[in-house]
Amino acid sequence: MKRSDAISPAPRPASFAASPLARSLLANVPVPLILVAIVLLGNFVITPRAIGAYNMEIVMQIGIAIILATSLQLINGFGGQFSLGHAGFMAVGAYLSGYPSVAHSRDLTDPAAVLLFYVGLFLSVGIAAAVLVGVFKAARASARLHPSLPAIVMVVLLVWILFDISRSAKYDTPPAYLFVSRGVALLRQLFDVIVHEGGSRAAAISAALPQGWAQPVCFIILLIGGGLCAAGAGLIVGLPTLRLRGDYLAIATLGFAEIIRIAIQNAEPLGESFGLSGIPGYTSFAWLYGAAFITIIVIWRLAYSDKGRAIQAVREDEVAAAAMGIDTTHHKVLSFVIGSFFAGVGGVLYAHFTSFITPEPQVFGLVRSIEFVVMVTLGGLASISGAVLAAIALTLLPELLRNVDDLLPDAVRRTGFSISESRMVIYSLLLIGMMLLRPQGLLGGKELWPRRGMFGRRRLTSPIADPPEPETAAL
Amino acid sequence: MQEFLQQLINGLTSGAIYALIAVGYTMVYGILKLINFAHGEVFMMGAMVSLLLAGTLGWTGPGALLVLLGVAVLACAVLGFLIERLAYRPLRHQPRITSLITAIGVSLLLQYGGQQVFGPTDRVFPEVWPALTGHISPGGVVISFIDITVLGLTLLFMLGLTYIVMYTKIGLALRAVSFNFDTASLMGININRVVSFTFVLGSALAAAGGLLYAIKYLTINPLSGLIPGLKAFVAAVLGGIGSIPGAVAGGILLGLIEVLVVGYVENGSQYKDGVAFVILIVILLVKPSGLFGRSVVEKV
Repeated sequence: MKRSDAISPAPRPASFAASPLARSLLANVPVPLILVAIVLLGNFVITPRAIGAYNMEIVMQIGIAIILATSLQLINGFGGQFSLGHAGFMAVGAYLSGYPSVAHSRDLTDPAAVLLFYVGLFLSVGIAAAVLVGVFKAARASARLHPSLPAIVMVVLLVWILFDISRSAKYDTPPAYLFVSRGVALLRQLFDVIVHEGGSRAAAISAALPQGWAQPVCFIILLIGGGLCAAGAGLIVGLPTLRLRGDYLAIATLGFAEIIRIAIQNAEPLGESFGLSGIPGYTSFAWLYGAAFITIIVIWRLAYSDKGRAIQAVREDEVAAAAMGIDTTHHKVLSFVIGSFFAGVGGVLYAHFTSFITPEPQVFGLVRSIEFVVMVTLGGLASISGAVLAAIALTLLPELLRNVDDLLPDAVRRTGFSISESRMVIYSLLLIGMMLLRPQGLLGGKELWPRRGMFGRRRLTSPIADPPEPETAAL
Repeated sequence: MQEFLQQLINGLTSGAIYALIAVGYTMVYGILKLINFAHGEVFMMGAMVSLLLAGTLGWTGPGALLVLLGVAVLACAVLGFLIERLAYRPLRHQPRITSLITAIGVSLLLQYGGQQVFGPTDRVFPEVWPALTGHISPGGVVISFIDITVLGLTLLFMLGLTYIVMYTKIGLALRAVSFNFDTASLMGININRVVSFTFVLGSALAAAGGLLYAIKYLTINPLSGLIPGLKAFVAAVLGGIGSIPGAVAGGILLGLIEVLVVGYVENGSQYKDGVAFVILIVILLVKPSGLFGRSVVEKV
């Protein structure tokens, strides 16, 4: 056998059908086409007129639950970080898209104004964040002078900030020595200039858009902007807390979500406790399920890629992953930020579906976050199809319970007991039962598609498929 | 100055209640490295049980208070024991996230199950010891007898706890297990018994906290254990989770800071619940091991 045989390239295929291009097309084209078809068809078939307004609402709630459960799956399941604050990111997306929608978009016909809002927001918040990070880094660097200096500096700063805020409440423009609130006032001016000065010119630009394009463009800007705001919140939450262990992280994310909710409740432009109303109800089946499918696809591609493998490696054993050269902080923050981005997108869609949002706990608080956690856990950690299935099941559950209620014998009904009101009790029993009996969830950490992934790539079996052996200390 | 002292007293009393609950969190975490999310609900049960008993029996006087205390402590001790036995012990060797999720499940179960059983409306604590409604005013600072009771009982319980942990055999076993779980079991310590005892002790203290909370704030509903429970957890983290004196110090400190924020920051009362979380974030950023905790170096 000649040496050249072994090193010659593979022979060119005889037909196009067997070529790598054809295989790639075959693997990658059908599913997206099917999804697009479902979305478009569904938009015309599943309408309030066809199935009733009540059922339509359920269908939309399912869509939102799918987006949020899948995004949480990335954080909890693949990233292994127990986040109890997902509803908070949804709130950020909802409010920071609802507000520009109500105040700046003139019924979604002024995309340029909305864009300016986000530009102004990101600029001012970005500057504030940069300053804070600089201060933080400087405080940390002061450790070189004395180890306990950073802690002292931070505490002093915190006390000064409290003092500053309470003092400056008396002034319209705070004097220069109260530099914290002065800085905040300056940033506010910057934001006002961008939004209001630019806003007048924005209307002209928006009017110049081709007919009928303004609304979709505006909505896309809102979706991306709201998602980015939520991602920013995820960054702020994630960076300091991601070096914490599971239990601490849960409480820290819970705390952040509560802080976000309390902040919204006290923010006057966001409607305080009365809520934000008058948001254009632009979300339709096509938008919602289109976004849902995009979410699933993006998170699927991420989770079953090299980056996804890195994220899962960090989940499994952080020290080993770091030893393998994986930047643990980067990957943990990545999963957190992308997860919160899609949570924000879900929030935007939610706000534009129910045109009225309030910062109440059932919608944006701990209870909702726990519902999402139940969805993710029920489906099985690190299983995207599991999260989707569980989201559908758990959104339909209250409806089912209502029907069961009607089937209860009269004797039971007279005692005032109703199954649908025991919904949370059933959730909690479900949670406890799952953990005791089948901690790997319904799908056991595997996906519905057996071995080949959605786009023809080979995927790993999730390591959470079986519960690991007990942790025994090496003695 | 007088107002400041008044705030101080208020902060001390609410801090004392946080401290009682926080001790339970910190003990369980020290032994099992598990955050017992259901602990806040045990606290709520203590308040509920004493409220219901006071309502049905209608006794008055200091004796009634002691009886209520005893019954609440007993009930919560049993509850804590059952929670550990049924929900946590089967999962002791599973990955930590399983126990965490189960703890959340138990917490939800107690909250919403309590709603079903007790009804969701606020219930008012009946007057048990009429003499308690009075107050003394040294130098213009109003110290109600309720405050004195709260502080006094808390002190008593803390002394009892210190005695148990430092001077009894089971306390020694408790400290050993929290120091190193596996070695303690090798030394012949019955781990199951120690863990159960920890839960019972923590729940008893939470019950006392619940009774004092009910006496001081007078309205209870099944969901009212959540926020104080979370704040007590923050207090435990503040003081250094795993350290009992840390939990006490953290609780009192948290109470004081809360009251000072409400008193001296504009619109402070709206931010009252957020204070605990801000403190949590700050502590986790600045000194995650807490004020009294030792930072454990993770060995590879």
